[in-house]
Amino acid sequence: MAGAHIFDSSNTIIPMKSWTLLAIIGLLAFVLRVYQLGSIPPGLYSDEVSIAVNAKSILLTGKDEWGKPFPVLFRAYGEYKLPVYIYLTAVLEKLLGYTDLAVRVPSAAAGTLAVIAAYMLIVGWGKKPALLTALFMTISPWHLQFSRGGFESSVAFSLTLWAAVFFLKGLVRHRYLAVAFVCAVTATQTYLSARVFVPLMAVMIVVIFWPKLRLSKKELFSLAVFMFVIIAALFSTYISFESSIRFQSQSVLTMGGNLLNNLTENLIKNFSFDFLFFHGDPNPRHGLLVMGELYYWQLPLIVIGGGYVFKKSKELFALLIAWLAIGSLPVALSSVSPHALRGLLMVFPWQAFSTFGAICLLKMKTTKWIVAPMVALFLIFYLHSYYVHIPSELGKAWGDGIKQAVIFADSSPVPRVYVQEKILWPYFHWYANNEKFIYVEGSRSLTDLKDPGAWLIAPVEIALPYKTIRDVSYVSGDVGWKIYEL
Amino acid sequence: MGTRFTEFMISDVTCTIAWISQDLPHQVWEAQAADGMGAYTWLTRFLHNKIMFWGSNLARCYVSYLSPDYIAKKFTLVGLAVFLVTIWWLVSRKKYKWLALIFLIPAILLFL
Repeated sequence: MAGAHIFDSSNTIIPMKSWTLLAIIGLLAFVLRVYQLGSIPPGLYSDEVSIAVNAKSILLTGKDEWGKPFPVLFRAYGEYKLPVYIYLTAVLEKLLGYTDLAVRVPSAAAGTLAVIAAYMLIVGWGKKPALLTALFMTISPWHLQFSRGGFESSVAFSLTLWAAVFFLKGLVRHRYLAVAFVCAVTATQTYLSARVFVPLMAVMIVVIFWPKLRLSKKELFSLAVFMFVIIAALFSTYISFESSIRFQSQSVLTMGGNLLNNLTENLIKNFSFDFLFFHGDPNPRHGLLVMGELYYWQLPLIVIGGGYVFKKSKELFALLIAWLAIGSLPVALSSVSPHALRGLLMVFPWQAFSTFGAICLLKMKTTKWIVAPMVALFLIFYLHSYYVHIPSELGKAWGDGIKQAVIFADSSPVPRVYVQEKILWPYFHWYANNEKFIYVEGSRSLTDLKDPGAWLIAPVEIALPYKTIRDVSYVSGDVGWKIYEL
Repeated sequence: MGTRFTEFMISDVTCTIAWISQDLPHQVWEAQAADGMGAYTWLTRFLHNKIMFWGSNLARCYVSYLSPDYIAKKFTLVGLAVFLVTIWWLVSRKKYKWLALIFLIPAILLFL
């Protein structure tokens, strides 16, 4: 343990060899996050398409899909989306065109940058722990999953880590404190979980580091004014009813029963071994279902690392535990727990504990011959599951097949195409060039449609008395959608 | 009281060796089928075989009895707190024999 203070990277000079190794890890992180990014996971799921459509609309008209110019909250189906990810996607769409890849690149880029930030946070404790943390973050199933989809959470997580890095830098060069603040505020404008996590964690970190801050009155005043102006400008977005619609609809208050019991139960579920190490989040878009958010081998490392950190630095131990506790709060406050997406902020402390556990084990000569093959074996298993099993088993959850159906119908000479599922609506704005798609209200029976010559797109599960024009298959080969002629 | 306690203990013990063995062929078949015809046979056999599934299921079952949510569900939050404090107390006083005994209990549950 080289570091004298918690996460103190402010004065650390990083040797060239570490930079080389960091560059290699960074490259690996980048490759793992962008390889086949546009096609795996197969298809865009509804939130990704909603982001893509809004970004396209902003780029083309300067307005969102509802006609509101440059909004700070984007109206979407069933919720209002925070703006940062959509504007980032608009930039990427400008550069890469209106492609599925453009929606996912901000997340992948943020994921790669988070790996570098993790290194910077730990480097005060020595270059070996820092490199290991960066490596664990690089191959983390939890972090990889959300870096490879259009998830705002990935960007918010990266911004939060960078806010912490700049805060530490700011202890020496005070101007970095403003950068840290901007990163933190941007995180809160990216994903709702950050609105719970960032303020609480910020208070905790400022209290811990207050004696080291040593700001002059002038600096303190300038920083306070800067912060006040930004918060005042964005204040309406924090208190608006719209921004909290999703939270209110899925809040712990909607669960019924004893509130305290629900809260504690939700909190504890984030630390369930089944969630962490064996099956992960049951939502098929949030994991592979066959493995947890962390690798099996991280369990002993976390136990050993926890003990080691506690022995070496009570402050670091308390800070990492507090990070976990505060990181699990956004999940505990909602009705769905565990939830890997909302709890993504917890990834960092788990990797940090694993790192110190690995440092302990690697001191023993024999263990490295056990740990290294174990890590490699599980990484192979993960990559195999991700690239082979997701397309064949979980494609439906990612919206696989819809793109093919929409493009086929759009390019055909048919005048009108009916669809029933409202969730499909953004897909027509994204993939289709023609205004030929008609939404059938839920109350109307699909079997009673009378429009000879028109087509209907419906899931294969619904039996319909029309002539099949085409079966649309998932990547796995199974038929998912049918196109009928009325 | 003794009988009730045993019933209480066993009522939620679903993860056992018998269960693991019973489910094994299905799990292997499912995973191999998902790989499809185009997959490398050696890779499929290397990653989806009985030893891998048995080992991973066994680890999962064993660890599930030590999971915070399981302990809290069985013994309430106070029970979880008592468990964690006891572990901490035993580690800090280097009472490794008692610690080993505690960690042996889930292994016994696997054979019920």
